[in-house]
Amino acid sequence: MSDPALLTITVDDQAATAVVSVIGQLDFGTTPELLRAADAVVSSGRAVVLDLGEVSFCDSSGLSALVRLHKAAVAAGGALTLARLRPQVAATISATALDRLFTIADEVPGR
Amino acid sequence: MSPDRVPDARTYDITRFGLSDMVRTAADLRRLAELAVDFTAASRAVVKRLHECFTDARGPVLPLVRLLTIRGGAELTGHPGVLAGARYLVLEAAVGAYSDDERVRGLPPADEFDSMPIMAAMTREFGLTPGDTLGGHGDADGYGVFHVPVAAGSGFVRDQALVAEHGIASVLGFGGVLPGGTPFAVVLYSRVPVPAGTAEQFKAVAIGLRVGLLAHGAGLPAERDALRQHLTVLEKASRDQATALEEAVEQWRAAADLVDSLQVVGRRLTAQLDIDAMVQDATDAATKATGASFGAFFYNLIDSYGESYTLFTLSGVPRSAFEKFPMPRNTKVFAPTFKGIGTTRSPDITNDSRYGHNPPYHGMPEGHLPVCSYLAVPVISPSSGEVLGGFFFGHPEPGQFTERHEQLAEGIAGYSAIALDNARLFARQRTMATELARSMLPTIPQTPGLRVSSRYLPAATGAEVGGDWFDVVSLPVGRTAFVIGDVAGRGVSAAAVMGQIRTAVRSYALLDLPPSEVLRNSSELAMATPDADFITCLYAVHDPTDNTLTFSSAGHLPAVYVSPDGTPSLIGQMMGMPLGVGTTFAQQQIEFPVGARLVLYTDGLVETRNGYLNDGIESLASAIRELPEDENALDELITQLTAGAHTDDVALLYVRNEGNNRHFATLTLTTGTDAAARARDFTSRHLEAWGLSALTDRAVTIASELVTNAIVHTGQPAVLRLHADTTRLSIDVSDYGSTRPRTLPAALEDEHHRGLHIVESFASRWGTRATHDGKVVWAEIILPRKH
Repeated sequence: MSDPALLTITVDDQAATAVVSVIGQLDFGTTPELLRAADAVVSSGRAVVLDLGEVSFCDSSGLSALVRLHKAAVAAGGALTLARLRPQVAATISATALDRLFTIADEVPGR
Repeated sequence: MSPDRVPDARTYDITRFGLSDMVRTAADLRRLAELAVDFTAASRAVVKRLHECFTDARGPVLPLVRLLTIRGGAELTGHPGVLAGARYLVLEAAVGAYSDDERVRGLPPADEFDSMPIMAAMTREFGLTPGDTLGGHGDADGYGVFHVPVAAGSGFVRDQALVAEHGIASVLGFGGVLPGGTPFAVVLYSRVPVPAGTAEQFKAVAIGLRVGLLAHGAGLPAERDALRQHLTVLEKASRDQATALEEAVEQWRAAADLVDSLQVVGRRLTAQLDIDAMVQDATDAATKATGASFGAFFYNLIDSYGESYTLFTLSGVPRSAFEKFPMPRNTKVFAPTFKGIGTTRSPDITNDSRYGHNPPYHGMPEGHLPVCSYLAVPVISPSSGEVLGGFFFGHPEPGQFTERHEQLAEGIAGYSAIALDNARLFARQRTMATELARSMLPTIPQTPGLRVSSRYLPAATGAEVGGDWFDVVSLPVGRTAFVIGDVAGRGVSAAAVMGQIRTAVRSYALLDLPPSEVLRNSSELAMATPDADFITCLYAVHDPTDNTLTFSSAGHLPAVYVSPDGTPSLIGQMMGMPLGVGTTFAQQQIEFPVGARLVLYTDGLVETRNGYLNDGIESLASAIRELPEDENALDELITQLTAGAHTDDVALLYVRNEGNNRHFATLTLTTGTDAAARARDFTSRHLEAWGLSALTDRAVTIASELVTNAIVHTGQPAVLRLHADTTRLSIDVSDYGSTRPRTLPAALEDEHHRGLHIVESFASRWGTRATHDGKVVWAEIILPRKH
């Protein structure tokens, strides 16, 4: 964690299902960047997979951002899937019972 | 004054006729008889004197006094019908009823001699045979006394009508033989019983009178012989009396000694509450008092399981003399003692019918000290009637124990019973008080890095439970609260108040209120609690993250703080009034570095005999400075300060900051977007260094949430602190905001309010506390136990 503020986000919307890959940590300092980068694709009404395989940390600020993205996707008639959760992220999600809200996948579908 | 009047007209008590009375009476009668003009006048003077000189509150005790002689008819001129050759019983003089025809009576024939029983008996006493008496020969110089202790119904007193009429209790005759074989006798009829001792004294009176009567008609040699005889008898009587007196004095002294020693032993025994000392004292005293060659006391005690067991003490013989023998059993010899039936005293127990019936020994076991004289006394509880034990005394010679020894042993047994009863009751009460106090004592929690020792000793005297207490409370983030307090008064009500206030202080402590607030709240509660009028309390909190001690006091004695270099100082003085009185309490913070020590105590520890607490506190401070670090040091300290006899309860808390196995790290927080990430990085690096990587996910999540909250909700974060000891990892974040975080329910799609849910889920516990300039939010993760 030489640069803890760094968050890298890649959006791949070539296929039918768009994949948003996140690398880094999600907290109150980085979530604005996630929202900025992913808002357009989840609001398009398409099926979106959020690949969190490289997210080493997520706190309640990160969860807020995920809830906002989820609500935006549903509002647009699309769907959001969270894929490849690392243990700390999975633990935060289950601690807050958000596993009942999110669609969670072990792998990025179609890959 | 008539010539026959004796100058000394004193009177005597016939029931207590002593040596000096005898000497005086014998001299009086002799002189009266000598001074009289003739034998008849002498006789009259003698009977008159005797009648007058024995009196009691009701007047003369001798209603009838007679002087009789036996004479030949030739001497009785002027009596019609008297034959010169015959012998007659002559009433020479009398006081009280008599008729003239009694004055001169013919003597009965020899075979009816006993028809005049007193005269017959007396003449025999004088050494005359009936033949001598009747025949007028037998030139004896005998004398004697004849005593009829109970006149009524006695065969010696023929005139029972006279006895009834005058209420005669006893008859006493005395007399002798005058030269020429003339017996004379004085007969006293007494309306009070005449004891044998008085009768004995009249032997000398008889001789005195005989000497006096000799003045009328006898020659000088006879008088001289009689005088010599008189002196001899007087000397012997005096000697006998002196010996008897000495013996009596000796006996009285022994009796007085007995009463004295019993009282001394009794006072000593009944003042004893220590059973061991008391029973030995009693055994020694009783063995000495009975003159036994050895004594034993077997007594029953009840152990903590309610089982009875028997112990014994010995006196006059080493314990090894009995060690190999079993406890005495309920044999026929011992049964009266062990069953509490009564005292057994035997001049020779080996000849007693109860002795030797029980196998295997059939008597004393081989090697037993020889016992011949035997005395055993049961000790019976005066309160319950229960047999508490028994005293046994032995002597190798027969017949050593007298009734007096028995009385002594019984006296000491009686006192021992009272003392044992007292001691047993006291022990029971004291055990109850101690148990009650113990049950109220806290379990000292684990305090990593701090060595905490405590002592609670009920007062050495008195059985009532006191109101002292101490407490150690684990607070969040490795902090520890130390409490010491003292409720004024003793007994159940003080203990009840103590229980309530202790709980209150503990509860406010767990609310994590600052010390001054803990005391303020407790004081308010005390004001509303009956009987909780005056309670002193000192409350101190140690914070391991910065090694500080924050404290406040409600009128309690100062605590002793000893710096790592050993300098003692007193802290916590003048910070507030006692609980139940004070409303504001000052608070102070000092450093409490590794090596520092703290001593909290109650007044029982420092109260000195002269009542100056300050002297005791100074002694405590200097003693603590030198206190060695071993297990017994505190006990020795208490013994040293209280001289082993604390009159009040002693509660003591001793805390030393050992500081080992503890880790701290602090990070000053910023408000930048990378603040939470820096906090996580900081946390994960330290956990790895402390060997706690297993907790990293939970710890960084908690740290992230707490820091985020501080930034987002107050905008003024202060410091992130990590603290790990052997039991827990603590994470706290301070800020300068005053709002307290609250967990709000988060709806499923709610975008906020999840932070504290995550903390709650990841931490073992969490909470907040106010600081003087803001607040601290803290969380703890309990470490898995290492095996």
